[in-house]
Amino acid sequence: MKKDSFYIKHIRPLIKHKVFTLILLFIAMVIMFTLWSAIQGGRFFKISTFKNILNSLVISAFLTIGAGCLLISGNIDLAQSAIGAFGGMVLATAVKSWGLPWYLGIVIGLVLCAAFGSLNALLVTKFRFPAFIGTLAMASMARGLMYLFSSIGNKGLAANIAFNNAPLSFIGAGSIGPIPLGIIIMLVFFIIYGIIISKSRFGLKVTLIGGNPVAASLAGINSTAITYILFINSAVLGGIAGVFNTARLGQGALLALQTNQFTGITAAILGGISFGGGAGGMGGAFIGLLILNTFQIGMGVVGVNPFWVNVFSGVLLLVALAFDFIAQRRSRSVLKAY
Amino acid sequence: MRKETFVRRLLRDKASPLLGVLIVLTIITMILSSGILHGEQISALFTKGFMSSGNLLSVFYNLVIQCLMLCGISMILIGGNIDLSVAGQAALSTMVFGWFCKNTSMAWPLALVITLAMAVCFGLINTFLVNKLKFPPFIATIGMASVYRGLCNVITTGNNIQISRATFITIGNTSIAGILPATFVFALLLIIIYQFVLSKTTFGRTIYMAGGNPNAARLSGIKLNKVRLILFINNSILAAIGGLLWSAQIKMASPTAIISAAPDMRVISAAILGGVSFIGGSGNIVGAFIALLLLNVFDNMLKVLNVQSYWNVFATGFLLAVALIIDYINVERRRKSLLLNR
Repeated sequence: MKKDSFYIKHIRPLIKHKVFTLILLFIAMVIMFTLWSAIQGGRFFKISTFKNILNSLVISAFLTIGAGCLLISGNIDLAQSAIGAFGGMVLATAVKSWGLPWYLGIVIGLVLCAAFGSLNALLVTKFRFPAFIGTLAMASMARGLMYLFSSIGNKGLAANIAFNNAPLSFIGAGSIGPIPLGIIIMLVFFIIYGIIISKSRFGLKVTLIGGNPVAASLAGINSTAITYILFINSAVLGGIAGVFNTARLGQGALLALQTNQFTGITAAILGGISFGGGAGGMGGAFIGLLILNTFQIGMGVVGVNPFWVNVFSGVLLLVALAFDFIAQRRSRSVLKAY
Repeated sequence: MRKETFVRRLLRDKASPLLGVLIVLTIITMILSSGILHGEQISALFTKGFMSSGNLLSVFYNLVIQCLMLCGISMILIGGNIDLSVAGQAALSTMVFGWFCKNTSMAWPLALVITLAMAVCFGLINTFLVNKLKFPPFIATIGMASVYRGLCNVITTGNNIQISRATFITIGNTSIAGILPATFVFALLLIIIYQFVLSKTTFGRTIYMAGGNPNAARLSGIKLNKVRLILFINNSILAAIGGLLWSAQIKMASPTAIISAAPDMRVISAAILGGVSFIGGSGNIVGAFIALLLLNVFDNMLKVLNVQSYWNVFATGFLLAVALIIDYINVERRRKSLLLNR
């Protein structure tokens, strides 16, 4: 009897939790790749592989956190990666063309990103743009301004800006002890945001706005202010991703984060943040991101043709959604049985 | 009497400010690009720069695939769904068509039929994911987009396929008076037909209802899944035809050309700019078409005026934002006047 109640109290909610299915999926994936590479005579299951995986998700992690918080509140930001690329380019311009120290470059970049974010929020709250289309417009403007910045030190021609800066290359590729700096920062961010979203009053408000905006406004929550905070947060996190990208490459690249427009959103939704808002957390988003990247790196380790990897990652996304669907249907049928 | 109400309705329509902006923008472009400010003849207004036959032809050629996608996407948006995989579908369709044309000796209409049959399958897959597995359309179609794009590259390891079927290429490159491509006329016809279906038939009204209030629609006996099925399949076929016409114009099947041109994002922007609601239930195709013209004329203006390409990227977004703000001001004014009347 006692055992039973412990099961009901602690184990069952754990199993029922959305994140649990995702962790199972992740474990299944690791086992699959381990066996697959063993057949081919290689090794997938080693520390360096996981280090690679974590390293590869640093940049998209910041995008995922920002996009995830916004999605929970029922909004969406398609400009995030473009704003991030812009921030990275500002950093490169500041360091190379203006000769500013690296920390000032980062601050200027992130402040400009925040300005873009507040503009996004202004369009969505004051002018009531659909977030999808308003941020799409901002994405295009941010990319254009990025080209403009890149042309400052280049006689008016848009081009990549390469620079040499020891602290920045340490941020990009350095490590504290055996662990790369980027991974540490990323994990700290995930933990802080995870606590904010699931444990604080602010996180509760964010979830409520996403789940039921009318009830939220009746309960006296200032949704405009929160929307501002979340859009600025998303843009600044995009900017941090851009800074990391610039620091890693050693140059402000014109094509920076070009393929990342949907990365953050995809990972967040894969990790159980609902698209309409009102549900999900950072733990799930992290696992979602982990699954996406493990898959891609695993495919590389077992030597699948990169053209197929693209196909398979689409299929993976759908499979993960199917898992989610099955879990939901099970919980619905349980409800019906009651 | 009837005529007056028609004019009044036109003025009240959401698309009419857009039409005004379009006309003004076109005239400005004509004046600036023809060089009459720098001592050219007045007649240059219609022969040089924007209005030169070569430039108009390129504008219309670019519009064909977008118009076809516009019909499909607008219907889907009005019905309360979204499809982000259209560019992928168009690219994969052209690849399949190109593959059959190159590696088999079958007549190209047969290859066309096979391609269209495959497009129907794309639509079925998308519908299956949304209808049966209850995936959000947004994320399901992003997933499928990645699958379609990946498959394009798998077919030819990332290369383009030359298409050398004479009749097929002729269809893509025939033009009336050297200005108006036959394919564009076809696209215009489709827009008229789809607008008619949308506003004058029972099925069209069903789409509005399904998008505007799905619960009410379901309770009044509309089969939402069936509506979605028809819309997705229709969209896939249109995307495939659009892709094929594009490949007929450039004489090869090139997925990268289609995907990097990103016609899908432009079409979705145009639809929403033209008054199609993103969550469904309102808007029409003609309004979306005017917005599409506006975006393309603007793009072309920057090109014929030799503006640096990065300003082009910036200005496209800026224009979109300005248009949305104008729309907002309009809506506000109308709401205030309604309140006063009360």
